[in-house]
Amino acid sequence: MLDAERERRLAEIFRRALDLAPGKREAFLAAECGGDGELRVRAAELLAEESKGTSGVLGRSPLREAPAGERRIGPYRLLEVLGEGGMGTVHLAEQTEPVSRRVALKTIRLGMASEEVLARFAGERQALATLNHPNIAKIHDAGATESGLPWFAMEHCPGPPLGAYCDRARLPVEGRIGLLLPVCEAIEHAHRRGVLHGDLKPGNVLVVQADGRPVPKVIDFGVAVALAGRSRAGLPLPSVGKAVGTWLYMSPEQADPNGDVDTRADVWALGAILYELLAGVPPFQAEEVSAIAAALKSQVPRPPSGRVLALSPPEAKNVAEARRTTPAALARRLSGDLDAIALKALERDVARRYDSPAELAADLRRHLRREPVSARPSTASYRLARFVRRHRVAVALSILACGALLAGLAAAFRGAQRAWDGEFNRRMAAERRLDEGLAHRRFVRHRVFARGDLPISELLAGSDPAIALLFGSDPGQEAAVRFAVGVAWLDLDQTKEARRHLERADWLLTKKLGRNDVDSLLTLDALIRAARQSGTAPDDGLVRRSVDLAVTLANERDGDLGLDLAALAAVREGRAPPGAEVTALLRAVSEEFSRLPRRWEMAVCVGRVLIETTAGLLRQGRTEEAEEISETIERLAEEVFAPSDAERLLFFWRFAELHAAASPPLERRVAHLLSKVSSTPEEDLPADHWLRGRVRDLEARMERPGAGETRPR
Amino acid sequence: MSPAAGKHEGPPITECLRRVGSGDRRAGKELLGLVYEELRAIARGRVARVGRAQTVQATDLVHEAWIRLFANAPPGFENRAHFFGAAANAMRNILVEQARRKGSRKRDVSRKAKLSGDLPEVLPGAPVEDVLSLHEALGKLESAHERPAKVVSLHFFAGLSMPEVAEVAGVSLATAERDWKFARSWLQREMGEGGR
Repeated sequence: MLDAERERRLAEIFRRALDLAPGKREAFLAAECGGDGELRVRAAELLAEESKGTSGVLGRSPLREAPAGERRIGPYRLLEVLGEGGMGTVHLAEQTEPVSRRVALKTIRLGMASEEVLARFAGERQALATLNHPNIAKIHDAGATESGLPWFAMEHCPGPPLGAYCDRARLPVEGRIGLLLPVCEAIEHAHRRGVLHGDLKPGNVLVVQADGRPVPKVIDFGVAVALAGRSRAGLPLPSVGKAVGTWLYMSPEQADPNGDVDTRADVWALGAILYELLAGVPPFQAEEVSAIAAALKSQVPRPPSGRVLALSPPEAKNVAEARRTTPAALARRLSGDLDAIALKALERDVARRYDSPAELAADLRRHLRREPVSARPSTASYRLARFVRRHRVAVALSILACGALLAGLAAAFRGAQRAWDGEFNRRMAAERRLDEGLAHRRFVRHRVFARGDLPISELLAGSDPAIALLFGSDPGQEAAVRFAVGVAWLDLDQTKEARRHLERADWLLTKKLGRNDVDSLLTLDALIRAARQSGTAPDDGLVRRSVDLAVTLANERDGDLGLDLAALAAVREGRAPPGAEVTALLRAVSEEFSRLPRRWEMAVCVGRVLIETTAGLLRQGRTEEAEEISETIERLAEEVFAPSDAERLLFFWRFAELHAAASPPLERRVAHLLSKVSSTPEEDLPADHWLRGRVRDLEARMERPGAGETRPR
Repeated sequence: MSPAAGKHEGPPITECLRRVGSGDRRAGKELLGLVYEELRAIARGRVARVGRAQTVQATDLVHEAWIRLFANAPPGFENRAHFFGAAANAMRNILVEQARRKGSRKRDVSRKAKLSGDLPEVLPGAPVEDVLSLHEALGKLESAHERPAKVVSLHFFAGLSMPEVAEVAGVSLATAERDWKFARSWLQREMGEGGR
């Protein structure tokens, strides 16, 4: 040994020399060691030793594991490592006696064994032993090593993960769904046997070939939990240390340490796998766990169709090509049913999610058969559209038989279909801010709204007997149709007809069905609109009902939002509690609203309360506060509506009317709001549209005040 | 299960680890004692179960000690690091003890019976002299190059893979590997000289 300082130098020189090519080392040593011959010799000796590698006792560590080929566990000879997880290692292993076969052998990694890991391992073994399904890897054998460490051998599934298989085989959308169906069945089977998988992801579904056909196999029940007796006790809490991959397919309730986890967590994961199979990327994507965790807490995934269009062009092209199509065609293919199905499986609220994998599978099958899917709102127009798609010929015949409604709607639908191809992508980009499940319906509605040339009024006029004939036996359906027809009349500015249908819809919903949901609220909203559009003040009882319902619905979703809206509702009636400052309440509402998922429904609730609060403040002469609230509403509306949305245009006009009715009228606001309508391009709002006429009338009224009014100029 | 199984569960190891974590040197010794006792207890139990001829895979010993000691303790990263440090030292003691016994058996037939059946052979095939000279050389390396010596200890005596060594020693994988190469050359050189 050298003295301490020279030993330190030795180590440093050695390390630096290691990085050099052997031929350059001698010169390096000479330069570094200078006149210290002893140091130089020592360094050269060490480097020479290094080049010999390990020898003697150091090469025979008592602990270093034997090479895989020589290691045995039970009757198995370990071959290569197939994978390493957080707690275990999976080896490909070979059994020769009594039968010759290859298995996947799972053991616990050195130093990972803790009570929790051992319990989880035992849980997986138990879970697999309980299950018997062609799409779940079977367990063959289990045991413990001499030191008591458990292992088990399961069916070896030599195949790529589901996603990789689909991309490699360039499976179109139908083929991908076809491969996911057996996976849903496998998980349903597990749930019925009382086992929750808990860690479903594309990597845990392998596709093997059996008789020339691809068969998906679910592997890795590593975090599986037996459902009987305990709920989330056995589920691993996600920690920031866990790999991102664990998070991409994890349900929000599972990511939340206090969440209630049940089998519907697996439904979410299946939804996430479906999402990726369709759109090529997982529902939430981020480099960092914290970002995904945050998204899981507050966001709703973008619909797959919108997601495809939002990819970078080369990426979108790759994704589409792997599905044998183009990005635009893929987005079209996904929009509608598949968007709705994926998002229903990915509902944050478990009560609104599919109840079971079987339900998800059933909807996917319905989609493949072109039947209406349960994920989509069961409106008449949607059912009709599905019906038309399935039975083109039959529809053509029944048009003759079934009267004006069916014929007219079918025509409207076909018109919309034709327009669809050229216009959809542009619209899609605009609609992206909103729940895209609505995009389709809004699109069709907009066509009706913007094109007075459809013989829509004739159609609507003769619709009463048809509605009775088609939907009379089902009050829910009848209410949905009455609502749609009523709104259509409003769009045509026929408020009297509109009212008749809307009042009937309201009666059906609240009195006959006792429903107090967002449909009821939308109906009330439309009735209030009908009153304002006809130039009369809406009945205060109606307004109060709508505000109360909006507060209730918001409260169900978010307690804070409910409280703040309730306070604003009190402000509206001039009985605000002390300290209820409009500014503070508005800020709170905006904040709460912006972090809520499913924003369009909440948008209806928040909008309802804020609009009526504005009206209330204007009535009370609290102009400044009214202006403030008005600006907030405008901002929210711009966030929620697409620029050329019929609803947006109608909303701003009605809102301007409300400001104009105040005394004195809020001229600046009125002009501003109206400009939003008048600046709409003609392709979205024809020059001769009645709404333009109304806007011009109101503008004129603002410039030439009525005879009795005198206002400072 | 051996009689020692229940002895160190829960509080003792947790408390000990907490003190090790706060830099208490005595606690470090206590931890080593705990791990050492556990390793020996496991080995004795194994001998009692399967008979003396059996050689034991030391991996299993360390592994089993981990399970027993940490059955109820939080298996955090700090705990892993401390445990493997202690396990490496304990294994080293056991090997040296075994080698000395073998050596003494050659010279002195009248050794005390108590020492005889304690441990199964944990390092089959390694000449006694090699183990002892490694122990000695490693002692020298420790005084001159602390970190490379630790890498050797974790890799050789605790059976950790290089990535695990890097994690437990708190260095990058590249550093751990360079340390290993340096220490290995240094030790082999040292032992070679000692043998001459």
